[in-house]
Amino acid sequence: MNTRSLSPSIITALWLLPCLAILQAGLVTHLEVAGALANIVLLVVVDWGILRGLDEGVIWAFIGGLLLDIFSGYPLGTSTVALVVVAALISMGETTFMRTHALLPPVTVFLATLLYYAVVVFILVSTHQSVNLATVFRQVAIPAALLNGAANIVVYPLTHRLEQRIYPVPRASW
Amino acid sequence: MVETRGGRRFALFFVAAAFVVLLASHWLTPVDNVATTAAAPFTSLISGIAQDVGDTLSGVFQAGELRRENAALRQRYASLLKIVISLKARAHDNALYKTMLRFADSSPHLDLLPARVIWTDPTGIGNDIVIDKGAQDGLRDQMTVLDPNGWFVGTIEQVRQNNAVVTLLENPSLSVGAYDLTTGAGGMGALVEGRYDALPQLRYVLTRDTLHVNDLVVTSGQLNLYPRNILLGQVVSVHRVPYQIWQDADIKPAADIAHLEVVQVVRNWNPAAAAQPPSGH
Repeated sequence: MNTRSLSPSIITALWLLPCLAILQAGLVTHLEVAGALANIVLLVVVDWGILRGLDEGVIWAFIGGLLLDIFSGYPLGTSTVALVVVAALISMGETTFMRTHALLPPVTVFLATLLYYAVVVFILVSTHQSVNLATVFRQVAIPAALLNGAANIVVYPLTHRLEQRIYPVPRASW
Repeated sequence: MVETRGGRRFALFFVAAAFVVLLASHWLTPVDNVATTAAAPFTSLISGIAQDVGDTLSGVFQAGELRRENAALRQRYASLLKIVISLKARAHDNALYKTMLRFADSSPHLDLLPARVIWTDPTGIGNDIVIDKGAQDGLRDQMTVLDPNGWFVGTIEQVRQNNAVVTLLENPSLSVGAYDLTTGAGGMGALVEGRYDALPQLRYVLTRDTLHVNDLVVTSGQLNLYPRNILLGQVVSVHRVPYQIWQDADIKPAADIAHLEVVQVVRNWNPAAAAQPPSGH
């Protein structure tokens, strides 16, 4: 890991993710489609992990997770842990492989969203919060995963364009 | 891409940091509160803008539906308005008829026929009105017309088959025998006469008789032309010149002649049998 090479990414995360988190908090009722809520921060973090790999994915996940915790009613750290775990697992996949098929990023986001909610539920249950698993997955997680997957068809190219702007020279993948 | 060992350590560090945040969440609550408070205005702003934009967009996309809904609501509003108007008119009429009923109860000797005013002179020059009852309802010329309270309005001047013209108290062509109810001034000789541009006047009252402002003036039944003791109005000013024989008084009509909607015609007072003054008068 080269700390210097990370700095543009960190700087971007430090201004972009708060903006997205505020946007999401403000638009929460407007982002609802058929009862499902899109999670913009989760989308961008996962996409960045796909595009930039483990190092940057985890940093973005940490910052994004903290911001989600601030705007959510969960105990602080819940979204942070969930997002970091998701980003770590996703980013460990081959980024080159991810870029080979247009459907892979949406599918990845779909799975990442399910995993995110699974970790959140696990933490909430571990901290003795009352959670109805069936309801959470039927009414929240699966609809959100489907919506995030669909939204990623638009968000992934935008994130890719942002990456190309920050890193004009493509990252070596060997 | 194959992650380096350093990269994985780096990632592991952040995973661990995330767990530390979770474990220390209880102590980090103040930080959470501060951050939420600081972000609240921005969130509120975004929410407000989104609300406006959302409303505008939904207005654009639902224009057809909104138009249909608007048309339906307008139709509903119009039908409700009709009901409201009808109810208000009924309430208004009920109030008038109640007033008339009270007067009829207190004047059982009078056969009163309610009639609706169907025309008034918009210029106010004519001092006449038209009512919706006529010859077919038993009306005849010179019958006395009262307002819902039983106060003098005028006299029937022209009867048609289904309507009649009423000459109002303010009309200069009308003279009504009258006297001051408080002092008795006027006796059987005084008259209330209408004027075009001023209040009706009580005339031919002897100067030695007493007239006071606010005295009530009623019909005297002079020559049997009108029923006796029907309220005409109230004295508002007295014109007395000591060396003259007669004094006059301006009368404010008791009936609200400008806003008459319903009147009562006294049908059993037979003006055709009016007495004649002695010869020489």
